[in-house]
Amino acid sequence: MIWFGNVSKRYERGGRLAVDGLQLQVDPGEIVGFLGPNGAGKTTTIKMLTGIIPPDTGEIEVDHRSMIRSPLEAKRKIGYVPDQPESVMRITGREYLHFFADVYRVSPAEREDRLVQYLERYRMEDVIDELIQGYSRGMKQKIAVIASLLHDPAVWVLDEPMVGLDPHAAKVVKEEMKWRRDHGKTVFFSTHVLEVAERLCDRIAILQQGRLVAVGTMEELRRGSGVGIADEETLEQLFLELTE
Amino acid sequence: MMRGAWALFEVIVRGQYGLSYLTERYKKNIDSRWEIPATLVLLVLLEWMIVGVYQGAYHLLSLEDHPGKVFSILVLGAILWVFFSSVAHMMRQLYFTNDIEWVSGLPLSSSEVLGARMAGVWLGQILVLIVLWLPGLILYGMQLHKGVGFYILVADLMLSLPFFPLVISGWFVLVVVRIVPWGKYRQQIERLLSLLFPLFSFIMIMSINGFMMNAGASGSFTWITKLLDVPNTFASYFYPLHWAFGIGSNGVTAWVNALLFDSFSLCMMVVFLLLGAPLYQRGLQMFRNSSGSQRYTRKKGKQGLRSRSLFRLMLKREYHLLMDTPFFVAQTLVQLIGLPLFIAISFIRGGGIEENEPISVMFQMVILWGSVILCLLMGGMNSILRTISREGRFFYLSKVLPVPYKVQIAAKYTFSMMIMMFACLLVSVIQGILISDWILASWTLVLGILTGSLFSQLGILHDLWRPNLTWQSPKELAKQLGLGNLLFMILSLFLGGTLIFLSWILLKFGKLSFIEIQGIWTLLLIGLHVWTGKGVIAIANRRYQTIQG
Repeated sequence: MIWFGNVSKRYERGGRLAVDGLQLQVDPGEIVGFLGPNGAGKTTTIKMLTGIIPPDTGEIEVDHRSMIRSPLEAKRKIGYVPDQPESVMRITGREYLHFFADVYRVSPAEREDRLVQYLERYRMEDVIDELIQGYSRGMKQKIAVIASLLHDPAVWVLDEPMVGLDPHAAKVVKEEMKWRRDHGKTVFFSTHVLEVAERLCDRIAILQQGRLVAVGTMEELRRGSGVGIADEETLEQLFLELTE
Repeated sequence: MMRGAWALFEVIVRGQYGLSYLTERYKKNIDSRWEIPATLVLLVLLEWMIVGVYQGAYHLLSLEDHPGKVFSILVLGAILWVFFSSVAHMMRQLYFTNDIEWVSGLPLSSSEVLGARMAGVWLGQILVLIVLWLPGLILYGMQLHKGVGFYILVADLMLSLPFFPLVISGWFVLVVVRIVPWGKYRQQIERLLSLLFPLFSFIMIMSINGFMMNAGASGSFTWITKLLDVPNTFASYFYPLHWAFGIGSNGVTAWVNALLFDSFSLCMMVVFLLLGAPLYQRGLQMFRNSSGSQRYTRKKGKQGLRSRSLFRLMLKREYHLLMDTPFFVAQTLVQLIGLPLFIAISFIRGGGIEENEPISVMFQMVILWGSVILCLLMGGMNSILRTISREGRFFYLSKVLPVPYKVQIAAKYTFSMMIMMFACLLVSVIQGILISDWILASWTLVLGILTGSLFSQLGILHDLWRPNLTWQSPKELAKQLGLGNLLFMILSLFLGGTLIFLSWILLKFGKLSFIEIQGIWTLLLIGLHVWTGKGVIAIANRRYQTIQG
């Protein structure tokens, strides 16, 4: 479960709010897509959710643990795939994954099982002992996805996960999202690919200039948008109407 | 708690010292394995030189007469070294590292992150101490016929000595970052940090130089006495230093002092990790909140819209490739200013040349070509050898830009030459001031520019031949180009030596005057340019196509 309680964030004193009074709950067994134009505050929200930056006001809970009062416990519940998985380059993929397993305290037996399983699923067995700096964008994304899943997190947070992924890997990620949802886990991801959000998400949240302008199922959004969109209209038209 | 910190420490060390990188490289590139023995030979040579310096210093300080005081100087020197050299390192590790955001999202406490990062800096300092200080301590033990116990305590000292100065510099960094809203000035601070260590090294070298000069003069005993008292002065302000200095004494006293110093150092570190962690966390938050992007202004926008020729645009790009990376700027500045300043000061301290002292033609030639070599070393090492490699992973841009390769190469050459010309001008002005021979200085300028131009072309070809476009940090690039720099240095010295020898032959057997000889070299170099100019462009044009950026 994820809960944002009136969360706000401002980067510069006197500057505009990057996130403005965000109130949102994502339940277990649910996939929620987080949409918004560039600069809407999606990444800031995700960074606050993962404990990378603190909110100025409000409360964030992950699986009933407060990210502000007990960040370590809350972070242990999250598997996070960043939008630019390029920060640690001069180690091999295997070293990177073992590092994550160590930090998230995954037992050796579980670690080996999951490594074999995920490496095979994402077709990374042949390159896992090579340096990350030699990986393509998609391979870096895949290794970040695997790292985020090693500890079987209750909440899976992905920032633009489909960028750079080949069709096979994208399909595997989508299947993983559905599998996790079906097993009572929470999935929260940001994306610009509206078709993916439309097909995959149980609910969609749309952010505009730091404010949540719409949240609900596709059906609810169509009914509640108030912009007179017909039933068969796509999320793209709805999104454009809401964010313009 | 320790498991997460240890895992992070392992990743930091693997990344920082390129352990995984080297392992993979040597698994794949069997051809490059010669670099291991070459590095070992260079290391042995370095250690041999360091031992020589220690031998000279022990002789000057009369080691046998003041064994305790000499040991104290060694320990104090190491502590000061660790303190000054770790400030910049610590700042980078704690706040400027690329993985800062990635680590913030992990379930690691601030103490764990701080501990792991401090451990990374500590390990680096131990390696430096082993290279620079351990030979001195071993030599000390050998000269005083110390027993095995002494060497065990020295090994222990190598591990515990960095703790105390690291804690001091750690507090300094944490407090400064907490007070100053530095996020907005990140790039400027990084530039400043890159200069800190070279500046400290320069001050150290100049102090040693000054000490040696003074020690050689009549007042040597006063100097030595003052120097030998420095550790005691420090210890009078900070008592635990007595324990560190006491490790050099004999018997049980040494072991007791070691125990006290180790316990004290460990306590300092533990307190730092516990109390410093919240401060570190707040500093990080402050950084993230204050690092906003620069605002767009109408004036800046208009400036960007002015049309420029392709060549000027490429030249401007070269300028940014150098100036936007603080490490490159610092290296270039240090070589451009540090080297001539060091030589000039040594020259002045050495008494210079007396005004009425006649200078022989041969001596003039030695000064001339010595200065030309200096110009090459100052202007060439950084700028020339890295014109292509400096682009790194963004080299592909050079290939996709609709700008002919020859224009790009011309811009690279011109930019290298601008730095080289500045170096030549600086050296000739210093030479003119010191020797008061402005004709000789003018020749230095002319021949320096001509030789420098040839070396610029050679440097571009060298970089085109073996570019490094996969570097992750400028430091990594600098390390990997170490052998190229060495070759460049040897070539400069070889060229200078050959020309001095040929000038001597022309002077002795050809009975030519100084001006005639320099005239010959000038014409020869101009002629060479006609030949190399076209060749370089053609080769570079072909090579550009084959480089896979």
